[in-house]
Amino acid sequence: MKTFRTSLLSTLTAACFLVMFSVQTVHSITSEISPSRIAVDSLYHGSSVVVSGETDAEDEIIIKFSSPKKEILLRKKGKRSGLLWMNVGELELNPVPDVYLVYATGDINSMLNEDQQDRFMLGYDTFRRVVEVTPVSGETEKEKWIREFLHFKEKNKVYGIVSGQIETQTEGSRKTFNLSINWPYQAPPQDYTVGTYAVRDGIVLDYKETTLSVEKVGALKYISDKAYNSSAAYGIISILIAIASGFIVSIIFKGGGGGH
Amino acid sequence: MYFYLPIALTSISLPLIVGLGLLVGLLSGLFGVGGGFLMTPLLIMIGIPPTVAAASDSLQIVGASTSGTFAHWKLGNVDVKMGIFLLIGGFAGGLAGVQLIKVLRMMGNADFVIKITYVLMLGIVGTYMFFESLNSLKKAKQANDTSQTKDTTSRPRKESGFVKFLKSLPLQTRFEKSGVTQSALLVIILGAFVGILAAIMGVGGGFLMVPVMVYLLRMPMHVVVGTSLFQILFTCIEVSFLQAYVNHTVDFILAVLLLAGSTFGAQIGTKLGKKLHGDQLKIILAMIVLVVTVKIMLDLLLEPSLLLSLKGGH
Repeated sequence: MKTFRTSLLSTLTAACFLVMFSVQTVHSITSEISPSRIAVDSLYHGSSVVVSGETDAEDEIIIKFSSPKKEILLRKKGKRSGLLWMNVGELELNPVPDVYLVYATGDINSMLNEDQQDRFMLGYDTFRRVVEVTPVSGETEKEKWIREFLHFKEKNKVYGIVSGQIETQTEGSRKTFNLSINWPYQAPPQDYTVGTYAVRDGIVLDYKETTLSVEKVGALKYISDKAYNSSAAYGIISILIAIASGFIVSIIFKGGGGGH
Repeated sequence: MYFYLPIALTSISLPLIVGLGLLVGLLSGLFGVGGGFLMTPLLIMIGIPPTVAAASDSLQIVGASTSGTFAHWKLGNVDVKMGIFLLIGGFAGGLAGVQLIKVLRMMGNADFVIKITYVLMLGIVGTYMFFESLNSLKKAKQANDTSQTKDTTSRPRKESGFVKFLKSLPLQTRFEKSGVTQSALLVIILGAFVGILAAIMGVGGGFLMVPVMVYLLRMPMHVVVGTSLFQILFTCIEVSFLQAYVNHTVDFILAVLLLAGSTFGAQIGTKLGKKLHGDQLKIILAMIVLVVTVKIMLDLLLEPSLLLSLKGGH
């Protein structure tokens, strides 16, 4: 009896894998990002990025740009003595990405069930369920601070959920898509994961992940390396340059300004 | 035209940042204040992280106050002796202030104490300076004084109890440039007092040092401006180095762009200052301080649009 049960279980498991595997192979989404590397130099002011690819004609598409998840510490404002607004302490959120930009062909809540939203961290509702917020007194306060956090990040242009920006074109059983965005200069230089998800019947059928590298280059990289790696020399040289420029301007001004 | 900043990690508009530098440099040359109490909040407002804003501003002040000190030096407006005594006091006060903040933080109400001290000090200093200079401007008009000199030392001084007390203090020292005799001990203590407050409020303290020199040390306004700049120069060199070395928050490019405006501003301010009477200078500074006070009070009373912010800054 026991062996029968075990063998039944293993057959079922195998069948499940087979189904999943066949879905994966039959269903395939392709995705390409251009450029895959953004050079940040002294005149950098954001960049345009295009993500394109194709999938099955019936699929909905979600494209997510995100940085690695970590804990973020912020200062929170509140009322003191019932009258004055000021910083009343710190708030920690964990795990959250620094940058989170999501583009979808429709409303994420009606496209995906909750489990799938949480698994792939898609949509703002998932933040309420998977992110720990400390210190909070209860669910209501947690929801309030999650809302404030999303508002704060959106103001900084590094969070956003946009529907309708992905352009699609259906040809027979396949659909091609194209998303063109202005990558915000507020997103700091680091590696970003770009996930492209094919969605149908409330679940993610297939997805592809690529990397978008935003890197400091040239003089900008040199200065920032010096600031972190040889900070004493960086400080002294900066001060000397500041003093020298103060003197130089004094002299230029005297020469050009006339009058006493 | 935009510039991307290597430490602040954000992009800023070139004319905006140079203009900001010019404005604050102008105030610096005119009044002998570093302008940190104006510049840092303005930088935060245009998207620079608070810690980077404060640190880069202190490097900018090094350049602007070099320019201003040099300009005032040539006019004979820098009392080096007084400046050094104030610096000694200020340095000790700064160290004490940092310890005091630690104690306040442990007691859990540091931010409350800091904000209230800030508003009270700005409010009291601004109001006092405003009415005092208004009064002396009125008196000057009534007297219809023929001598239109800018020297405020010519004002007759009452031998009040306070002055008698000052004269009874030990270590009476003659400060030639300022034309005053004061106790060296008093100068050091006042320097320390400003140092403590500056450390608590996280500002350079120019707007506190100027009234202290004018009203308590009885120095003429034009020497006050030059000496204050001299003192600020050294304080900011120390702060800039520590910020760069310990916190890595000095953005060299940001400071240079600000400097492009502020070093010129400081020169224009110094020239403009020569054309104004000491009391006129004081009343304008008083009005700026009062406007900043009102702005901070409104920030305290109105609900902010964002309830979260990055750590650091004032």
